[in-house]
Formats: sequence, structure tokens, C-alpha cells
Amino acid sequence: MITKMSVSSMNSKTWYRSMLAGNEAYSPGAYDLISTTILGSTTASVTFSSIASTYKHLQIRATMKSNSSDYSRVYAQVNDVTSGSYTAHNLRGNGSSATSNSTTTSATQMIDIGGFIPGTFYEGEGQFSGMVMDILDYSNTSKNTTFRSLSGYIPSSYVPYMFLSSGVYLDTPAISSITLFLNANSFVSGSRFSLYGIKG
Amino acid sequence: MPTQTYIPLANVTLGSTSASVTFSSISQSYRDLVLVAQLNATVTTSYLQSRVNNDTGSKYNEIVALGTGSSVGSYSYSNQTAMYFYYPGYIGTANNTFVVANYFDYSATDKHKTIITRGNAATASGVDMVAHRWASTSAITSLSLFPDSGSFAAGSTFALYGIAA
Repeated sequence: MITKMSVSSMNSKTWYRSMLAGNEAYSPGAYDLISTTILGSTTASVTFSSIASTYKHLQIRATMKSNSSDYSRVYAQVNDVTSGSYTAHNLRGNGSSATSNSTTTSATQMIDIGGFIPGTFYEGEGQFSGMVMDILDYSNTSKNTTFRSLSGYIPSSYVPYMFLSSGVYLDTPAISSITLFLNANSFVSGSRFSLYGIKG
Repeated sequence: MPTQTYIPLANVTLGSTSASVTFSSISQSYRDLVLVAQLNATVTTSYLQSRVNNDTGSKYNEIVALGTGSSVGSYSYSNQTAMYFYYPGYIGTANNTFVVANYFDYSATDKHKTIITRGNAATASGVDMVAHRWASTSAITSLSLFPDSGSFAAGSTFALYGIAA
């Protein structure tokens, strides 16, 4: 009959009162990589689907380029909803002036939520845009979901762009999928899209 | 099981003034890097600059959009010998200028490097967002920040994080 259980280091025969046995406590991080997609060929859209509802927020980090001759505009939809359920605003700069734009309420996608991205005009430069997009309280079913994005690129010639964008999905279901696509043309090979979950 | 990310790689708090801060021998095993800094300078008239891999060539290009509280503007600069991380004004000696820099695909060797920065100094000049391009396909192995005059003040903090691939 066992009346006492003690912890002992196998090497030093040191007794510990804690099951950590002298080791540091494991502290799981709050920021998980959920998935990464690196395109191996030209692709019209990229979708993160079956997103677990176990995080507080999501973040998408991406480097993007299109097969347009000059540039393309990055749009987004969620949960395969293509009806008028979105609106978006942005503050942008093009190296000459700063302007602000918005979509009408109840648009069919979040327009320019990922800013502009370079096309094949910049083929020889290996130039991709960079984007960080935050999706806040995505699994909360009592509020509309807000998107915030910072993106930009600077080519050696032609017009550069820097965007601060915001968007909203005008409904309350939890976000289970996010699709990024372009106003025209497609993402090219080498474009990278990473989804992260942030615990709350 | 999801991969944990946002790994702290280095953390510097200056105990005394320093002409620059450099993160070197950066691991190539991450997807992106994020640099977070809050800093002051020892002189009132210095701008915040940065380089990668100690590259002093004319390879840095930038597009800026900023607001000063009374105006907005956008500017672009090409073939510079360093990046500017805060455009609205000087770092200041007590502004606690704050910048976050995202280095995308920093270890890739088939593309120029895109870096997106956000900067603000609540007591001074304004906010900005900048897209930088370092015109090199070399992987980034080191990055440095420095004021273009004077030094960083004691108490300035710099943290570098690796974002999992």
C-alpha cells in the first residue's frame, strides 16, 4: 500500500516538493501560427477556412504580388458571404499626396482592405507588398467583426502605395473563413499568406 | 497542434547613452521579424535611422504617409543610404518616440525586403506609416538603429521578435 509519493531527481537524488522538480514552469504562448500558404502558381484567391473559434483575435501576415501589368487591389470576404454585408475605409499615401477613401455601406466585399500590391511591371525587382491585418473579436457572436490592416510597397519606378485600412463585416456570426482576392488578375507564385491566432 | 510564435529574440534597455543598437547573427528560422522600440535621443534635433546588414549602399527606398495633427502628407524617397523610421519630426529628448517595424520574409533570398513601420510620438510631431524596400535579395542577418546626430538616451528600449514560419 502506497502511503507517500515523493519526487526525486534521477541524477542528483534531490527531493522536490513541486512536480516541476526544479524545472521552469511551461508558459504557453499567446500567439499561434495556424497555417501558412505559399503560392506555387498563379492563384485567383486565398482562403483560410475552418478557423477554430478558440482564439480571441486573428492576424494575417502576407507578402503579395499580382500578374497585373501595374498593380492590383486586395479585397476580402468572410464566411463565403458575397452579399452587401461589408464596408471599408482607408487612409493612403502615394508618395505625392495623402487621401482617404471609403466604400458605400453594405458593399459586397471589403474593398482595399489589403491595400494595393505590385504587378508584373516590377518583375525584375523581386518586389512584394507587405501586409499585417488584424481581425478583432472574430468569434464573438454579439458584435460585428472589425478588420484593421497596414500594407504598402515602394517600387523603383511607378507609383508607390502605403495604406492604413479598416473594414467591418456587418453581421454577428463568428468568422470561420476569410478569403483574400483581387479586383482583377491573380496573385502570383511566391505570394505568402500566414494566419495567426491570438489567445485572449 | 498550432505552432507558437512571436518569439522574443533579444531585448535591450540602455543603461547609458549609446550611439546605436544592433541586433546581429539573427536566426534565419523565422518567417518575419518584428522590432519594437521606444526611445529618446541625447539631442533635440536627431532623426531615427536604420540599416540592415550594415549596408551603407544607396539601396533604401521609402513611401511615407503621415499626419501631424494639423496636416497630412505623403512622400517617397529612393536610393537612400539608410531608412528613416519616424518621419514627422525629431526623436526628441523626452518624446518617448515609439516605432514598430515589420520585416517580411527577411530570410528569403529571391526577393527584395519589404519593411513596414509605424511611428508615433504623442508629445511631439505626429504619426506615420512607412513602407520601405531594401533593394537586395540577401537574407537579413543584422539590423541596426541609430540617430543621425547625438546618441540614444539611457532608458531607451529595443525588442526583437521572430514570427514563426
